[in-house]
Amino acid sequence: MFSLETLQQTLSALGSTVWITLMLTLGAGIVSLIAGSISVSAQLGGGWVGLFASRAYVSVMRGTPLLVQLLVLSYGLPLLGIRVPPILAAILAIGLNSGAYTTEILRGGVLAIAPGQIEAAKMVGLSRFAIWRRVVLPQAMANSLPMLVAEFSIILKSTPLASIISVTEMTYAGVLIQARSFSSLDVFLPIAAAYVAIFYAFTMLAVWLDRQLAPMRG
Amino acid sequence: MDFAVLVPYLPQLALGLGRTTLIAAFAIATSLAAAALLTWGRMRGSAAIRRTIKVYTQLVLGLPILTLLYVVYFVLPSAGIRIDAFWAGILTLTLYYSPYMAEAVRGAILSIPHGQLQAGRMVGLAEGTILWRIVLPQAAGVALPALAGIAIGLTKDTAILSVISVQEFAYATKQVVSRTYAPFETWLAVAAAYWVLLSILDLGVRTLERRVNYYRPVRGVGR
Amino acid sequence: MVHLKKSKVAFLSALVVSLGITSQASADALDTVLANKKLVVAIDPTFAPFEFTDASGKIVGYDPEIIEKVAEKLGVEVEYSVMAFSGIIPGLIAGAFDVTPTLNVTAERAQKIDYVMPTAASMNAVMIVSGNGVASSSIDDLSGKTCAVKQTTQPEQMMMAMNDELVKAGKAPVELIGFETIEQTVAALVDGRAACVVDDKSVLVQAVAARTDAKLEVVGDIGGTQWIGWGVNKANPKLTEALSAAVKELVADGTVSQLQTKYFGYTVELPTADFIPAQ
Repeated sequence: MFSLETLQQTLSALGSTVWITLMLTLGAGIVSLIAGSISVSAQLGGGWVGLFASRAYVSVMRGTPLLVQLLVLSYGLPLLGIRVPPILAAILAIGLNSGAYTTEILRGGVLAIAPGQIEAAKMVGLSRFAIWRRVVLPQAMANSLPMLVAEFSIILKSTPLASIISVTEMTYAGVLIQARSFSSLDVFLPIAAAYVAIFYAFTMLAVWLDRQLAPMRG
Repeated sequence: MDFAVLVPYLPQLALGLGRTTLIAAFAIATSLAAAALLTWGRMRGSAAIRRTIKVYTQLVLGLPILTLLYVVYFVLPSAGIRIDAFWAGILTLTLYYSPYMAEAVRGAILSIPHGQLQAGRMVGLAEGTILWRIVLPQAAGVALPALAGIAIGLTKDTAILSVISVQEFAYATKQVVSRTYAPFETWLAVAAAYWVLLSILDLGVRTLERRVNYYRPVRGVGR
Repeated sequence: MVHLKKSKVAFLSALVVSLGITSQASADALDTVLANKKLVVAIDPTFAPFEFTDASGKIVGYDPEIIEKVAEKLGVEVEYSVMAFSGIIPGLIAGAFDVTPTLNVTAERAQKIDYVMPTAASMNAVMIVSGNGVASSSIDDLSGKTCAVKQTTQPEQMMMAMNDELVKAGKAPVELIGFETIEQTVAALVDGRAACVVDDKSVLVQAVAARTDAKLEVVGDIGGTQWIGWGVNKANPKLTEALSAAVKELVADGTVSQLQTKYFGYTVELPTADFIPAQ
């Protein structure tokens, strides 16, 4: 049953939930970068304990479905006496999941840095931590920017799963409209189109950033 | 925490895990087949075919799989296409993952130095022989790690099929949770089971990788 | 090589923890509700007339209206947590929210969660597409057919129990396929993926009225009458008591029967005690 009224409702729901989807993507992207940076630092400079911890983290995150991770986190936190707003739990779970992939991406970026640079930084008397934070990580991020943006768009695409822990983002807003309009076509097609549009906006941003950061590459 | 509440439900959970394994194996096979077709079309097809595949790939790359699943299961019937939940699940996984696999395969094929093809032609090998004996064996080695990552992603995404009533592992788990009233313990145990399943898959692929690359000095692999 | 400073890690984890997280003391949730002036209500608003969304996306329905009046009496705001039904009871047990409306009162659930006094009664029924070969709502006529239900709901569990009986009697069980919303079960019925839908009668009647294009028909009742109530975590008896007291007042002043007429078209007497069925 196609109806203009349903389409209109879908579009207005998209307008109000697109922000939730973007917030989830952005928040999880930041968590992912932080988690990935910590994990790659532990892996490359944390001795065997760091290496083991980082490997275990990556293995668990890559080896279990995000849906299951979301549920474990959202049922686990209240058991510990912590009640987080669902959107924050979702950002945390999606971000930690993505952090495992960011670890691998950044690792590639770190290994691509010319060793001479680190030697040079040591020569001018920078501490190891300063070298890592000022020289290595920023370049690793610049080196792997295309991959990081690809990871960002994967985050965008995993945000609908947040609905299972009660975050009404774009896709679940669609399910709710479907539930009252008994209509699917005019609900899910516009939503699908919205994702594709946001995805390509990200891609264009990545291309632009890539050009801006080109001089920074080591 | 009391994991003992799960004991009576182990057969039900095992059945779900078995179904998940089957669905994943099946969908990996169909996705690989579709990826082969896409790769062939992209590299050898007419301009129209190439353009269509490119647009399709970009469209799928931009879609969340959950949204695609809703489209396949709930929207297609209004176009007269009605598929059972199981097949809708397989179709969604295939539609979603085959372009990723095709990209990996295409990249691997393009990585084979052109000189080898010319050398093959010089010694009078047929095009088919060059493809099967020279290009694909090497490309398989190059593409395997990426394909393995994609296959693992596919296996994990079987969990979302539970929303369209495919009775796989996550579906079984929801049922069990509604009986044990122990959501945390149940999902934690299920996470561990997924992890074991996927680690086995990972290990299997690594072994295969070592075999395929046996004759090739690939960085560090197999040493 | 380079080590990450411990203080940095500690700072980051402190930051994560401090972001809008409320720590829950082991005290009764009633204290938290009153202190924060906020009642967190988990709801699956895809179940008209009990709970649904209007054209603007606002949560409305029979139970939301009562809940909002109850919250007013307690002097708190209602905050909805919207999710599929299959996540609601697990979340309640984990303590992710305070209360959830529109639960069938069952003996099995009553061992794990507490119920506020019932707000409605429910009778399950069988819905079909006219002339699709399902003769009646008797379980023998459903044997061997595929029926759509909502995942982890009481109607689904009731059908599973009936399946056990069918198998014992040497008959084919009903094949159950579970979805997240009623509309999705209706879609499965209309698209021919299922031969029937089993759920609450007033919800099905509403669906028949909404889908005039599909020749839907409620062929009859199945199972017995059940109470519908709100669920609360067993750790919060004071909250359950306060909510029950407020509902009782709304029953006494006639508000509840007025709402029953508005949403269901009939009224039903509600018990204030001994409403948990025997096993």
